[in-house]
Amino acid sequence: MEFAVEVKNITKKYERFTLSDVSFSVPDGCIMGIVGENGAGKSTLFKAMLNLIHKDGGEVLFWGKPLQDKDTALKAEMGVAFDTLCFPEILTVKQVGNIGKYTYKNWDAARFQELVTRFELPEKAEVKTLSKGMKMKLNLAYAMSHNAKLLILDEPTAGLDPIARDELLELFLEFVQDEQHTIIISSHITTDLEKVADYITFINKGQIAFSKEKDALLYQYGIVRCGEKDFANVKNAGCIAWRKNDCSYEMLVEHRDALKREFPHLVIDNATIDEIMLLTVKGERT
Amino acid sequence: MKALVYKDIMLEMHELRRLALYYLLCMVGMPVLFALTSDDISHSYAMPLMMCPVISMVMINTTYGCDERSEWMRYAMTNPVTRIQYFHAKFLTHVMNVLCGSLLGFAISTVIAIVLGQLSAEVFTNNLSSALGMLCVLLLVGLVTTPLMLKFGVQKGSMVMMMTVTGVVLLGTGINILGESSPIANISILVLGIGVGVTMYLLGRKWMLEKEF
Repeated sequence: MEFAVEVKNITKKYERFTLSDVSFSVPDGCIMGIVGENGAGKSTLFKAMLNLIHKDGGEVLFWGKPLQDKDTALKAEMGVAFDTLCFPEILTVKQVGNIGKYTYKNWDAARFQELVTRFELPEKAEVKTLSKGMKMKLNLAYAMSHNAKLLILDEPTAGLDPIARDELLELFLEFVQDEQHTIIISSHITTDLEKVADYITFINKGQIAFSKEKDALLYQYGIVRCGEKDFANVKNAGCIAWRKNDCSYEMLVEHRDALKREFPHLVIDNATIDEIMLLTVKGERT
Repeated sequence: MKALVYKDIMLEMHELRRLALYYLLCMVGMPVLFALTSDDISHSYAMPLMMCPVISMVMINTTYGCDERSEWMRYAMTNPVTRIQYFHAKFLTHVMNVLCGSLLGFAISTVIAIVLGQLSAEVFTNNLSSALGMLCVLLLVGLVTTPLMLKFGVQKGSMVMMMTVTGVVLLGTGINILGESSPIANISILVLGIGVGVTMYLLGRKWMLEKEF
């Protein structure tokens, strides 16, 4: 399997936070979703990947090559969008396109124009007059108009209404359709990732809690809701995390089907990414 | 780098449109005022030589402010742009600003001298040398301010910049007074200027490579 991105043991220490030994790989042609609560280290991870901060350890490889500041050719293969539009607010949409034209050798002006038209962005409007959704669309139009092979998107759907979010998710799926393009996307909105991601990496307190195929997560993991009597048995039979509600227990299990066979009387629900995250963060670990 | 300079020019053009009247007043109105009120008429055509390049230079502050508010520098680093290119692009914008300002100042000054019937070979030569001198000084100021602005941001950078420029000017003036414009004093000022410029350029490169976004 060829990897677009390999993150190997990245460590970054701050006074009050440490991104610790983070490793995961993103195969070519896939969408990797990065999830985690606020302050878990998602943005720090992206900054470390993009060399915006100096790492205390580890390395990041893009198609087997480390990204260096001087390696502008490798940078040109990537499109990046942060959660806010980072163009000065007094520039117009057209001027943003011109910046792209002068920045990237393989800038596709027709593609930019197509996206601007598709997103209904007024060309002469200044960035400051655009709504949050429009700003994000302009962000993506810029990131996707130079034939990038990899998109790195930090919270691109945050603060958008469901229709705008759906529009963007559709665009991401179009982007990876030929299996030559890859996306790494972080989001709080796990339902978005459930729709588009092939892999999910969950960061908790600066560490990787898991990095797995989405289907494996959704089809293997389960939530057991049981009473005191079954709790002890299930706890010792593959429970990852649990928490006590008023009069019952909620348990996250990794092998739903195996557990169903072992305890046929138990009700085991499918686990959503939200529930997996919640129990991993808030629950007691076994 | 072309994109970075283009973006800065677009921001400055925006600022220029917004404050056109103010700039016009400073560049043309004040010399006219001097011509009407001052005893020494040469002040009126000498003034644009200083005002125009300084105003042109100050316009770059708009770009620093806009960049900082939008976190542009962080985003630019994800584009095919190196940190050193970013630094060079800012200095290049500064050079273009002061070059345009000096040319404009020289042109306005010459026109005023013609209008006042004061233009002679001597006045022309004096104006030209003053414009060139101003250009050199402001290029040095650019070498000092560019790294400071990028390192400390607009607010802190402006303060450190003012202190540094004042320090350099005071030192230069001190040497000049002590040497009473002797060739040694002039050479000392030149060496000092080049030394400060080179040091700040090297510091700027180092700061940019160490910067975290």
